[in-house]
Amino acid sequence: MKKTKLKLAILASVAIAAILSGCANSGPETSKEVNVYSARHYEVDKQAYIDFEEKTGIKVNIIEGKAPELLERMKREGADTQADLFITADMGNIYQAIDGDMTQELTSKILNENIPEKLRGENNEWIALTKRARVIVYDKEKVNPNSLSTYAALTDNEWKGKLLVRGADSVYNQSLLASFIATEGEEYAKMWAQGIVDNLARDPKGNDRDQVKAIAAGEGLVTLVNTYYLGQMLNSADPEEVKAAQKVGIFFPENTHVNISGMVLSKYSANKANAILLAEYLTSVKVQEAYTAQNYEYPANKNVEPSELLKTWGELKPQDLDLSDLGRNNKKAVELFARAAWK
Amino acid sequence: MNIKIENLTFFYPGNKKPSLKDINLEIKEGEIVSIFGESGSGKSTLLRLLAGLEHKGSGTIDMDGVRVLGPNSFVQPEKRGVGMVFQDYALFPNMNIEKNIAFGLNKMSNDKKKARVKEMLELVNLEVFAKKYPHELSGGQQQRVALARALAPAPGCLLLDEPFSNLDTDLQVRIRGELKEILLKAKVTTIFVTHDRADVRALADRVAVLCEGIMVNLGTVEETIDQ
Amino acid sequence: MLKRKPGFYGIASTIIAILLIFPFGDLILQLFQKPNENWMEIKEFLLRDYIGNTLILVFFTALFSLLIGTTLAWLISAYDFPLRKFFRWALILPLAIPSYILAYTYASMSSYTGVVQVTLRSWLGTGLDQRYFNIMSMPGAIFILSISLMPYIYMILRAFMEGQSASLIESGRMLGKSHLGIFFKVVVPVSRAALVAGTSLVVLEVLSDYGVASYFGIQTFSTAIFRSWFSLGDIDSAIRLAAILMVFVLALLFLEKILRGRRSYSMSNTKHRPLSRKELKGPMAFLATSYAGIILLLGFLIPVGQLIYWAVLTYKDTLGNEAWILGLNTLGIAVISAIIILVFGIIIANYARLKNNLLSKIYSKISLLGYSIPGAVVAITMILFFIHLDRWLAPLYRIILPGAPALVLSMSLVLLVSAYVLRFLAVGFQSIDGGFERIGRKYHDASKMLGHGEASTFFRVDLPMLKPALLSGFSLVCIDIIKELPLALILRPFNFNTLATKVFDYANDERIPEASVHSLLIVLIVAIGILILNKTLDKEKNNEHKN
Repeated sequence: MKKTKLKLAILASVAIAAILSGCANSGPETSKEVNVYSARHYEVDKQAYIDFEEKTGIKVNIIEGKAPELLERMKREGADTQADLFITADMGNIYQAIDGDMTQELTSKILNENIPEKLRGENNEWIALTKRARVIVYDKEKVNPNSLSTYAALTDNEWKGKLLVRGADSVYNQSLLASFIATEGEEYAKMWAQGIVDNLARDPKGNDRDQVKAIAAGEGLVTLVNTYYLGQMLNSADPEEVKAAQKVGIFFPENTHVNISGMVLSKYSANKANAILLAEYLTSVKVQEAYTAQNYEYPANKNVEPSELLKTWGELKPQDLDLSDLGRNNKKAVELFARAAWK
Repeated sequence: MNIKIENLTFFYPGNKKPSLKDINLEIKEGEIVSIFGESGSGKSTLLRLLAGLEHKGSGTIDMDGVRVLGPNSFVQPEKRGVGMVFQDYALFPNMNIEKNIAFGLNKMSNDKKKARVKEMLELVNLEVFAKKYPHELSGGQQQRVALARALAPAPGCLLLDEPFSNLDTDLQVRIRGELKEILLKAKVTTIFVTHDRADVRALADRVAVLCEGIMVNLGTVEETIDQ
Repeated sequence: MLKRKPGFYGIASTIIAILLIFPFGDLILQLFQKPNENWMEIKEFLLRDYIGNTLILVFFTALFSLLIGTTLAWLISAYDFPLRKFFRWALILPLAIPSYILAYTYASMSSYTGVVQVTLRSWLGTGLDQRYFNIMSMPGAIFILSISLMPYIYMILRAFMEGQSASLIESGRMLGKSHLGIFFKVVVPVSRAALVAGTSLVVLEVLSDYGVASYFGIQTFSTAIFRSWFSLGDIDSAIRLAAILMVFVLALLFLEKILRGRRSYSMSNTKHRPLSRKELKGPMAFLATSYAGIILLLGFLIPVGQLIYWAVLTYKDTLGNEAWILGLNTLGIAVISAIIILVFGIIIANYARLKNNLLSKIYSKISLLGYSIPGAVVAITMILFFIHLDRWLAPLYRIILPGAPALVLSMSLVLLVSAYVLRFLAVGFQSIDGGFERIGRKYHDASKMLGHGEASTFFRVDLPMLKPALLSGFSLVCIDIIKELPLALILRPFNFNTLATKVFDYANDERIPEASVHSLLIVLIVAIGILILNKTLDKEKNNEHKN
C-alpha cells in the first residue's frame, strides 16, 4: 500500500515536472534549441538571443546566475548536464570550466575568422566575446595625467594615502594580479600588492562604481576600474552618477591589463551544432557592435571598431600574455592578496 | 442497544497505573445507566472507550453482539451508531442550530432531513432558534441543541459527559426534569457520566460507581449511592 | 473491521517527513569524511572572524529590533495619539521591503551620488566625509536588518498586548502604577514568551541573510558558506560551516523551547478585553507621533520614495513585458509552493493533534528544520539530492520518452518548488498548528460521533474553522517566497526568473537605479499580502472577543 502510494507520488511528480519543464526535451537529432548557462545578464545579450531565435528558429534557453554557482551546477550535473554553452565574464571563471574538464573544442571556420587567435584558447577551448580593460582612473581636478605611467608606479611613495581599491575577492583584481604573476613573476606581483596596500587611503571596499564615486567624493585621487563601468555611469539614468563620472579621467597605462568575457562549449553538449551557430552569431559584426555601443566593452571581433565613446578615452595598449594564464594563476593571486593583507 | 463490557483495562500512554482496570458491565436496551465517580476515577475514559474515541484498551466491548473493541477488532466511532453529548457541547460555531442538528443526518434526502430537524427542534422546544448561531444561545439552550444533535441520527445508545456541569444550579434542576422526559420519549439506551449524586437520583435506573479505575459498586440508586 | 490501521494521516506524515529529511542525507554523509586542507586553514584563521561577525550582527540586530519593536507595540496599544490608527498597520510595512533591496537603496542613497550627500553638498557646500559616514559597514548592516526585521517583533507583541495583557495592565493601574512602571514591571515580564518568539524569528532571519552581508562585504557564516562553496569550490568546507551553523540554530531553538515551556504562567485565559488606552496630549503626543513617524520614514517611506524616483528615471528601459512576466512567475511559484506547504502543514499538524505521540512530535520538529537552515545550504542540499534522484529515475524517463535526458526534475521548477517547500514549511506549519490548537479536538470528536468519517469531518468541520489560520499561513509563506533570494538565484531552471533574481542581476551589475521597478513590484505585492494578513489577524481577534 505504502509502495504504491510512493510510486504514484513519483509518477505524479514526474508528470508535473514534464508539464513544468514544458516537455522541452526531445532527441538531439530533431533539436531546435540550444541551452545556455550565462553569467552575463545584460540587455544586449538578451536582445542578441531574441534576434538569433528569429533568424534561425532555434530556441535559446537560458539559466542566468553568478559564474561560480553555474560552474558548480555544471560540475554536479556532470555528463547529464543540459548546458551547451557557458558564457561568463572573466578568464578566471572560464579557466575553472576548462580545468574542471567540463568543456570541448568550440571551433568553426566563421569563429576562427571573426576572433583573432589571441582571443581564443589553445585548440579553441574558449572564445572571447568582449575585451575589458582595467585602467587607472584619476581625479581630473587634482591629478595631472602626466604624473601617471604604469600600474607599478602607483606603489611609489608619491601616492601614499591616495589610492582607492576594491576588495581582494573581486575577480577583476585577482585577474589583474594573476597577469603580473604571468608577465613579471610571483615576487614582483607580491611586491606590487604590498605596495598598493601601503598606499591606500582607506580599506578596500565597495564595487567598481563605488571607487569612481569615492574619487568624486575626494576620498582618494587614483583607483583601478574596468572601463565599461565608466561608460555605464556616463550614460546612467541618474544625473548624479553622470556628474560623478565626469569628474574623473581615464588613463591607459603601458601594457594595460585586458581581461575578457567569453564562452566555452560544454563537453556533454547535446546540441553542439546549434551551440556553434549561436557562438558564431554572438561573434558576428552586428552583435559585437551592440556590445561596444551599448555595453561599452571592447569588441573581440577583429573587424569591429570600438565605439566612439571608447575611442575618446584613448588607445588600448594591452598586455602581451596568454590569457589562459589569468586563470592558471588565479589561486596564486588569491594567496598573494591574503599575504599582503589586501582585504 | 445491548452493551456488554468485559475485562476492560486501559492505560494512558506513559502512565504506569491503569485508568481503568477490569471493568465488567452489561447494559440492557432502553436502560439509563450512570457512571458515577470523582474526577480522575476513570469515568470519562470509560465513556470515550464506548464512544470509540480511545482504542488502546484491552478487554472487549460488544454492542448488539458486534465486537467494537477487542484484540483484533475496532469499529471507528462514526460506525458505531452511538450518539454523544459533550461536556462543553462542541456545537460547531460556524453552523447555525439547524445545520448543527442536520450534521449527523448523512444519508437522508433533503426533505427527510428537514422533517427530522423539525422533529428534533420540537422535542427540545427550540423551534424558534433554528437560524441562530450557537454563541447567540444561553447555556441551557446550547445543551438542548447538543442533545437534539446527538439524538437526530437515532443512535442505539446515547452517551452524556457531565451533562449538567456547565449550567447554573437552579437551571440544573429544571433541565434534569426536561432531560428525563426527552430520554423517555426517545426510548434510547443512555449512559451518562457524573460526579453529582443529584443527577444520578433524578435520572439513573442503575449506577456503576468508579474509584481509581476500579468499579467498586453496581446496582440501583438505592443499592449504591444512597447507602 | 481492521484493527488500528495506521490511517491516512500517519502514512502521509511519514512520507512527508522522509521527503523532508532525505535530502540532508548527502550533507550528513559528507560531514563524516576527513576534513581537507582548506578546512584546516578556515578553522585556524577565519572561523573566529565568521563567528565574531555573525554574533555581533545577530546580537545588535536582535537588540535594536527588540527595542524598536517593543516600544512601538507598547505605544500603539497603550496610548492614543494623532495618527495612531494609521501607524498601527503602517508600521508593519517595512516588512514589505526585502532587506537586500533596503541595503542597495540605502547604500546608493548615502553614496557620493546619492540624495543624502548631494543635498548636503548643495546646502552646506560640503558633504559628510565618507570615511566616517559609510553605511556599507557592520553598523550599517545592523541598521538595515534591524529596521527591516523590527516588524516581526512589533506584530507579535502588539497582538499580545492588545489581546491578552489587558486585565493584567488594568490591575497594575488599579494598584497605582504609572504607565511606564506597568510597562517595565508587568508588560515586559509577562510578554516574555512573545518577545522570545519574535526575537528568535529575527535571529533566524539574520543568520540566513545573504543579500545584505554579501553586498556590504561582511564575512558571516552565510557568506562564508557561499564563498567556500562557489569561490573556492570547496563544498566540504561549506558543509562543515553549514553544520556548525545548524548546531547553533538548533541550540537556539532549544533554548527558545525551554523559555516558552513556562508560558503557562504568563497567560491562559481565553476571555480578554481590549486595553483602554491613555490619551497623550501636547508635547508627549507630538513625541509619540514623531517617533512612530521616524521609524516609518526610515523603514519604508524614504526607501520607497527613492525607489519611485529611480523608477521614474529608468522605467522606460526596465518596465517592459518582461516585468509583468516576472511578476506572474513570482506570484505563480509562490502560490504553488504555498498550496503544497499548506497541504503538508495540515497533514502533519492534524496528525500531531489527533495522535499526540512521540512520532508525531518528531514529525512536527522535522517540519521546522528547513527554516532554521540558511537558504544557501538548502540550495546545496536540493541540487545534490535532485541530481541523485534524477539519475535513479532516469530509466523511468526513458520508458516514458525514449531519448529523454537524465536530468529532468533537477532542470525543472520542481527543484525550486521543492526547495521552497522544504525551507518555508515551518512558516505554514506554525500558522496551521496554532489554528488547530485554538480549535482543539472536541469538534472533531463531535463530528465523528455524528457518523462522519475522517475525510468528511476534515472538510466539513475542521477546514471551515481553520480558514483564518490557513489564510494567514498562506500570506506569510507567499510573502517569504516572493522576497526570497538565494534559492531562486541558484535553483531557477531554464528561462525562469523572478522579480527577486532580476533585482539581484541588476544590483550585481552595479545598476541599482535600474533595479527599482522590479523592487517596487516586489514591495507592492508583499505590501498587499501584509495588509491581507493584518486584516485576517484582526478579524480572528474580534471573533475571539465575541465567543
